[in-house]
Amino acid sequence: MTIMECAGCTLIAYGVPFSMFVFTIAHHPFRVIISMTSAFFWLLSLLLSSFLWFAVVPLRTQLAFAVPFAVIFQEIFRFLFYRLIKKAEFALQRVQMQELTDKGMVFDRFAVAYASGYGFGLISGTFAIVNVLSDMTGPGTLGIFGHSQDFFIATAFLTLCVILLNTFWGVIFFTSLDKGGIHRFIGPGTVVLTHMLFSCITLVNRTLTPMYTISLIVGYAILLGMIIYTVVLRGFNLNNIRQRIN
Amino acid sequence: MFWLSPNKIKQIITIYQCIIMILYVLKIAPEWITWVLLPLLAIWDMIAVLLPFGPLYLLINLFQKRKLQVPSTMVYTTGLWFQNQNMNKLIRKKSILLIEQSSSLNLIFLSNNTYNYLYKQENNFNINSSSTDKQILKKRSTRKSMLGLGDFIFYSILLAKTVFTSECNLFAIIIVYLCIIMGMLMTTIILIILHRPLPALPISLLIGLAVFFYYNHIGNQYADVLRLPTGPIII
Repeated sequence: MTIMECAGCTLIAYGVPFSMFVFTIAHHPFRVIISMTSAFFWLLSLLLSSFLWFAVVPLRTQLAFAVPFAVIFQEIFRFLFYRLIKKAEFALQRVQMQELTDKGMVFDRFAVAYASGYGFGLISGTFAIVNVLSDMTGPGTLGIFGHSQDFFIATAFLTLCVILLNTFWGVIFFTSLDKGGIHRFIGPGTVVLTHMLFSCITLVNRTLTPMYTISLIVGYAILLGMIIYTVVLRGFNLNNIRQRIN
Repeated sequence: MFWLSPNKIKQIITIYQCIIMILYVLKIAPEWITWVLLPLLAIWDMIAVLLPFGPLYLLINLFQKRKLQVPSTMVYTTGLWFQNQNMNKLIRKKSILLIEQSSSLNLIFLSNNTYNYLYKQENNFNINSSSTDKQILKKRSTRKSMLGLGDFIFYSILLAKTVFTSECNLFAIIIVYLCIIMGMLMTTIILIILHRPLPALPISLLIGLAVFFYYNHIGNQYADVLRLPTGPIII
């Protein structure tokens, strides 16, 4: 019974990202490297935010202090990763190794943005769920002391939401910074604001029997908004879509 | 020794040696030995390869003077170049009941191939795509990257030790794995920039150890606060 639940929650949380990996990232080693490097950057931001949480001793139980700073650190590290990518592209262009382009190390900016967002999302979702999954196969379940029984399912869906959200945030962030002009402020601003909104909405899960519907619905609504914004940013508009459908 | 055997046999033998080593370190040696051994090894690696009086530095200079190619020498009898196409690290979690301590341990310590030459052999083979109209020949180059046996073993020791010290905290394991991979990547980047033989151990081990210790004591509390007792708070 518990193994069933564990398998179910694993597939809910990792089903879509795994297929994304298999179809788009697995056959391109460059994108794999980018994903792992961006996962490492998220890890660094996690270490920093946990250090902040640990250092401010009296506010350790007030998570409303730690969460915004965690979001800010994540976005700072996303920006640092963007700078690193720009430097690497500059260096690669200077070297201009023909053999690398033959092997497929072409610098496709959209693919790099996508892979970096994916890496961020994957490690972020893993942080949220992997310890839950490993505890889930043990004896017993939740809900005895009045806690909500939907903890596992809600965690799985929230993890899926955050993985996909991070992917789109990565694309929005990088392509907005590439475009320049007014997009340099709108794009990252949107990302930071929606990230903050999403994380602070999940803070309402702190009560004894939380209503997971709030965070889930808000999360998926934000996801829909991000999809539309990404599509608009990449240049599609209604005419294009109508032409493609007909 | 095993130069002429097929790839699978070489991989199985090296993984077997790795498992023996890990079981020794985890079960027979005292508890604290990993935490003492790995930083000292990292420092030794840096000293031996980078400083002008280090033994490995002198050895490499000798090879370059005599224009010998490094892997073809039989100086390190167990210093196999581990040809690996997919490194699966899951093997060390399986416990093998009866393992005898073999005397190859000393040889493995001696033959610590810690300089990081990644030999990329490209086997270009053409794959015919199955389209009926045209026959498109796709060239796919498979690379066999080689990692020194000593490096492989000590990374595995670090990973195995984190499994047991953190009581199977999956996230800690994933983090240490990520740090080891990133350490290898950074070493490769520095290798491309500097063009001299580099030790492969220190960056990975030091980053991995630091992150593991930090996460085990502080980061874990942060993760627990975010997850328990109620409601996941997704940062």
